[in-house]
Amino acid sequence: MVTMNPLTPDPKSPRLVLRPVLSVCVSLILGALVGIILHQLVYRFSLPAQPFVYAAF
Amino acid sequence: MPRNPLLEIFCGWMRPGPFFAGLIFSLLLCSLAGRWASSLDLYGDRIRFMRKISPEGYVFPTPDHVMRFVEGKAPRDRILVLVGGSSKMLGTGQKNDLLWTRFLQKDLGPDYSVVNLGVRGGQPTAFLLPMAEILEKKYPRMIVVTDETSPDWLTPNYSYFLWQCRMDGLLSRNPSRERELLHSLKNGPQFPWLYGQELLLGSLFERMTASKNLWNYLGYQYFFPVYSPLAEDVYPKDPQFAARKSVYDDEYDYDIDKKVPERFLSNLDLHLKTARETLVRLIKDPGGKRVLRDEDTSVTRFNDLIPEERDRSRYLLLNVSISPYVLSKLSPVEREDYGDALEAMNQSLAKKGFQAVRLGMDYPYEAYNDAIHLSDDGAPLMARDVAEKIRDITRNKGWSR
Repeated sequence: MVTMNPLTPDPKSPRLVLRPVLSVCVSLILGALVGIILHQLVYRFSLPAQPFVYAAF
Repeated sequence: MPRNPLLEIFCGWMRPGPFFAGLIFSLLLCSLAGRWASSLDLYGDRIRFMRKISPEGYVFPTPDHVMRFVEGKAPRDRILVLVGGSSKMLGTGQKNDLLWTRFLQKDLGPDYSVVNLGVRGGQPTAFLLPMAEILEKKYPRMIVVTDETSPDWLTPNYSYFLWQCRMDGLLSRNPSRERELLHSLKNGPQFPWLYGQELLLGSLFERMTASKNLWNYLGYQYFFPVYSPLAEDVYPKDPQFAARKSVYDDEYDYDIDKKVPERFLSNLDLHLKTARETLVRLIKDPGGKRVLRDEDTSVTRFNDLIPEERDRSRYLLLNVSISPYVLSKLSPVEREDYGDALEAMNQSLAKKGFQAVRLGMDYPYEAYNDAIHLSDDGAPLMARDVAEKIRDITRNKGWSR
């Protein structure tokens, strides 16, 4: 009788099958979030640096 | 080197390929969304660019959005009256319902569409002149109304707009403008408010990513994406990140309840000095007639900004007088000279082919909120005088009966 080490995951378990797919998805989502932040930074840093307050009255 | 277990888990999950694919995909998607946002009449529910949707409120309207703003308000079959320039044209101190351009629209009637592109602390070059140049072909029947100043192409706070129009290829070739743009690139440190190189790079990035178009849209509709250290002190009434759509028009929200003459007393000496400086612009010609100096800066500047080959007769320049209360503090001779100086300016501008009109000197004291800005009471008076002149121009051009 073969006994499995409880610390070694079963290669057929769904957790291991999904891991590569999940890893790709997480990387994609994180990359997309960083892209959105980059786009916002491009906007933020393309605004002129000097603040402008005009006293009309 | 000690190992960080959290970092190890993170690295175990991350794949560089998908990460960069996601990054590039979302950047492209944001740019496409920006292109889509550029086609919207974002500020269509507004009648003017009050400070919360202007550079003073960290909002930098793009040429696309300003163009949509005009197109949304002016059907092509009407005569477009494009108003712009400084806070006098914007109607600072006037309530939204009593804005002078509303009265102008009412006076001119349904054959005309009046659009206000005035900006605070601005000049005609801020939004107005680039937009007039761009819209000339779309609106062959267009009158451009602005206040008489001594404008430069590159004005503090609004130069970004000109750079963007230039980099988007929207403007025709104008050698004097090209020279000024190049000059600002080479002499940045001498003109710290211009930041020519910063603006050139900003407009290049904008062209590639349409970031202002997208984030202006999100900032107007949903949440404002820029933290402004000024917001709490200068604009205490609205939450820092509130969507600008929900922010009310505060152009009239000043301490303007002061009665006459208290409202004119702050900086009275300064305004008297300004009025007297106007008199220096006059000289006597050989016939003894008082005329404007040949080298008068405002006339030469308009002469440079709008080349002769353009139709200058569609440009109406308003010589808005300083407040009659301030004028009453001048001597009778000075007062008369002041009127002559404004008239002489009109004549000099007319010689160059522009239309010009003097107004404000005979208005009551209540028509002004302070030394230079017209009040709710002055708005219909100014509209009446300008409408009369516009009707003259359109009749002469054969656009109306």
